Amino acid sequence: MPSKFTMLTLEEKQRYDRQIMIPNFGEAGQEKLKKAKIVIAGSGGLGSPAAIYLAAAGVGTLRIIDNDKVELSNLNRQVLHWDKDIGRSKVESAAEKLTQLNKGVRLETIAKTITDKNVVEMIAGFNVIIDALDNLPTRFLLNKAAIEYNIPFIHGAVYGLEGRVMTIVPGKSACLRCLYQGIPPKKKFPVLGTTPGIIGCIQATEAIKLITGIGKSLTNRLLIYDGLNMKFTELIVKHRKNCEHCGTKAGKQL
Amino acid sequence: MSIVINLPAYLRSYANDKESVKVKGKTIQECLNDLIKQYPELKKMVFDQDGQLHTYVSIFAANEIVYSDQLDKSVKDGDTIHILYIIGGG
Repeated sequence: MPSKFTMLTLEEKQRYDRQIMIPNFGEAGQEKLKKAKIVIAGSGGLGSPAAIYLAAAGVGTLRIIDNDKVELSNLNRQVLHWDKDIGRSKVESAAEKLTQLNKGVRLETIAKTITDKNVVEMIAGFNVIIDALDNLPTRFLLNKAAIEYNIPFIHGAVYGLEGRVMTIVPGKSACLRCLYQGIPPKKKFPVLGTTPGIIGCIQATEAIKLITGIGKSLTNRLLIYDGLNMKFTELIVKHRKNCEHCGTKAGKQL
Repeated sequence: MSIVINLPAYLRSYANDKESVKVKGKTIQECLNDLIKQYPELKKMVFDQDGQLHTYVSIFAANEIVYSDQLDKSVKDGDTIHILYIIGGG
């Protein structure tokens, strides 16, 4: 039974009417979203659309983590940040817009870099983590922590007009480390804003599905979006027995 | 035997901007070798100095991941191999 805190108000029933209508979603699904706590790691190209749609869908708590300040070169894709926000903290800029979009969402902002020292406190007690980062070392750090703490982790990444997305359910599916085992030298990446727009929306969709329990997750499947040819390809990723993060070799130390 | 190797956007500039390349070979390794023969600049992007697959490159054959110790798997006419170079942009 939902508690009085998660029961929907009349206004909420009206606000979310169109998604409550979705088969198997219903008011029960909306109540689950209201109760849910999602971490969005990064509020840039991927984090902006993911946060917008998760806030609009009525997720109860969104924790947004980003230590960057808004720069002019961010604005082609990071749609939560506008001209007036240049120089401002990204989490502050994001929170302002998301509050205006849906005052019913509890927003927690953390203007810090995720490190191996603080990663646990960043994610503990949350239901889903959205990987909306712009660098690979922190993606692997979060992947490992998500597995350790048994929190579903939704990976998304972009390059130019190409995007990749995969859902990781600890103990049930292949993880990011099963897919790639290393990191190349860091380089500035090109990106058309619509690419993280599409991938971030897919990540938000996956989070909503996991929380409401509808549909089939993008687990053990890497979805590749090729915007140049407007083509989606699905590749099967298998759990690696000797994976350093989720296999028998996995250590307990982060 | 004709096999197609699909390249991710990141690697296309090392292969005359081609999205896919036709190669010949009986195993995945032979197909990758033929790709490198056609586009030698791809070698350093796919393999390390010891000739091992880079840890940040993933190979898929018949839409399924193939690990670096399984490159001797045979391929059949018409198969597609995907090379993925890790991307981390957001």
